[in-house]
Amino acid sequence: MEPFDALWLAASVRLAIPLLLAATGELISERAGVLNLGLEGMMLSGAFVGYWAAEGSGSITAGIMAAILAGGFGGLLMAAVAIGLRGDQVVVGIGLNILALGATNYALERAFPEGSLPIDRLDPIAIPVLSEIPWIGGALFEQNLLGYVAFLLIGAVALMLRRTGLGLEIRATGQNPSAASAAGVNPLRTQWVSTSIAGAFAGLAGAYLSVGSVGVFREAMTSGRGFIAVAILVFGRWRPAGVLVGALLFGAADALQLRLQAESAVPASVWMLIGIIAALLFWRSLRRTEVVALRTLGPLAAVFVASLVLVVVRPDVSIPSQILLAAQYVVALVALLASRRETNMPRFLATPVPRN
Amino acid sequence: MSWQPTRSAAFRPVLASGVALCLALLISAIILVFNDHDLGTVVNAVFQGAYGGTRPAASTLSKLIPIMLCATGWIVAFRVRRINIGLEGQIIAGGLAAGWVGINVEMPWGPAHLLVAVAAGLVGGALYAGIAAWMWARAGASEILTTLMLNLIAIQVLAWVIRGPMQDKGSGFARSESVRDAAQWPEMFAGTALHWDVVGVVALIGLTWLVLARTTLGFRFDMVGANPEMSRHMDVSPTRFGVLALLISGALAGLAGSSRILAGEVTTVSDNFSANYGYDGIVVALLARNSIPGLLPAALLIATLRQGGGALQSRAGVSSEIVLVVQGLIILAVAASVLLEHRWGRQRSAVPVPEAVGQPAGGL
Repeated sequence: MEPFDALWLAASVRLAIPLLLAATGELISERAGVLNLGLEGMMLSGAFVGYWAAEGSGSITAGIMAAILAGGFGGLLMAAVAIGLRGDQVVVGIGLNILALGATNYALERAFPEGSLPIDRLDPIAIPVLSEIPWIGGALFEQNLLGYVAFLLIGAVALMLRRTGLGLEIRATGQNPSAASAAGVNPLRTQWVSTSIAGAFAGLAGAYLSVGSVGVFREAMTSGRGFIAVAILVFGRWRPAGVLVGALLFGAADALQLRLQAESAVPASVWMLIGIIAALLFWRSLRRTEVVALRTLGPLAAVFVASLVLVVVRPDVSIPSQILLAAQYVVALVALLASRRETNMPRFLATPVPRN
Repeated sequence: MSWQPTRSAAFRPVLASGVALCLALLISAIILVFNDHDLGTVVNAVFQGAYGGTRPAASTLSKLIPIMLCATGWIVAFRVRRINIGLEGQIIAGGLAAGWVGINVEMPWGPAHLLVAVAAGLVGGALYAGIAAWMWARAGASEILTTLMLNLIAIQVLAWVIRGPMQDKGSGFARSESVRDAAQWPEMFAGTALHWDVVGVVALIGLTWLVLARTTLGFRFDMVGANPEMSRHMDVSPTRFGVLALLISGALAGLAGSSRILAGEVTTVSDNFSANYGYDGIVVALLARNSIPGLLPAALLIATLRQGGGALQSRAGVSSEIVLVVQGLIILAVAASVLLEHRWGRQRSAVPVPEAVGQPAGGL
């Protein structure tokens, strides 16, 4: 089943981890009602500062710590302007992204005039026995430290949101800040805290990209991952399990895309995958009764038939690398289109908390 | 009564933006000083780079075109409270469409070719914004996220097109052939970047301002923006006008893209021809507090920074990336200064300013 093999699975999980870390942080801030579009910039700052500190100190741990602080500082800045000074959250997010892009490029030129050179990166830690399991062993149990941390963190955040007082405060603030306030919660403080935590998570995600997986920093190396993480929240309906599935899905798409870059022709199994996805979506739409869902039946059926034809014909086509790169953003668009957002969206998302 | 910065309500946003701008520039200056740069040299380099001679001055002024068009596009969408972050992608779509027509279509009459190419740019930008508008209207997908994704997609499609179907096979570079002469805007002053598209663009922005301020269409936009529920009851569909505003917004950005190709210093389609003008437009619209007359000074400032910033490396040894830092700081400061404006308003009127009352706007 080229190219869906163990290597692809391992790459999927590896590429999902930065998305998972960033989306976990965003989950906390969005549940508290703060839409943090500056995620991309905070990841980028984390990636740069992590590399810079690790290169300077020779310690990857120091790099990761510095990245968390850098991301957390970004979150604090977001909170100061968007919550403290009541700036529009979307606008502040855009500003932070531009600022982070300029600042990291500027600092890169000043600190590393010859460009960033590869440094040591985190070694994978194979868990005995478990990593020997065929297929999933290599994918799941041979991560580096941050990889395991990412999976622990989404579990911890899920528990925190559901079972702890802080989690309740966060959910109440995003759902109805006035009621939360009446119940003795300080919604502004909750938003400050969750936005800063979200920034720290984004910084960690950035560190995974630079010192965690490649050991270098490149200009704008986050390449839209922060935005995809925000889309993952919509796709995952603001639930931890949904976020986990979404991150893995986009990681898998990214891994497939990388894999196809090396292929001279698109393997038939890829057409088959497209057909299966279309069939699943068709089945889902069929069970729903809304007109909007029924309207998708025609196009989905057409995609399904087309993919069947392609599986049989096996045309000798290759997809240009740029289009493959764009494919994950198209997947994100389709995910946004298919998500029923009203079901679980925090009601006060991106809305300033009313005062007094 | 405490000190009042201004008695005029109309002047208040100008002052708030001014304070924000000064703050952003001050922080940038501190960054430069901390990095051992001489401020005098830097300021001098920026002004020399932007206005030191006819050619740089013309380049600075020509940058006003894409910046002001995109800023106008942002304002039109914002009138109905739609957030069009996709201006950058719409520039690319418009530029690609205009470039394709300019290269591949042959017309018996020269000026018609230019007109058709410009129209292609308008339509290309509008159609690209139309994707986000359609997704928003049909499935309620937030245009904030979809336009961000569409920007990323446009960059990759452009990168492919100029290495594939539209590549100038003879040159071997990642760029298209040059646009035919007939499809190019004539130069205003020979040998400079300023072309006659300036006149048309200024007229179009003025027209947009008139439409927004004086016509029923503008009034309906404001109605939808102020209260979508109420306008729905009055048979002014928020969906339809939201889509219309996004289409116009995209058309303006597409026009900016067409000018980048048909009146550019280079007349080929190449990587990064959109050069972040879509984001510049957002900065300028925010700085101008979404007022079209306010666009000119704000755009002039950003154009000066962009043109002068390009010369920073050679003249002052400062990386031109600092321009992005300044722009990011301006956005943050302007976002923060809205509160300042409200405070002043409160002092003056002693009546509570209507702030976001406890109604969720549903940001996504």
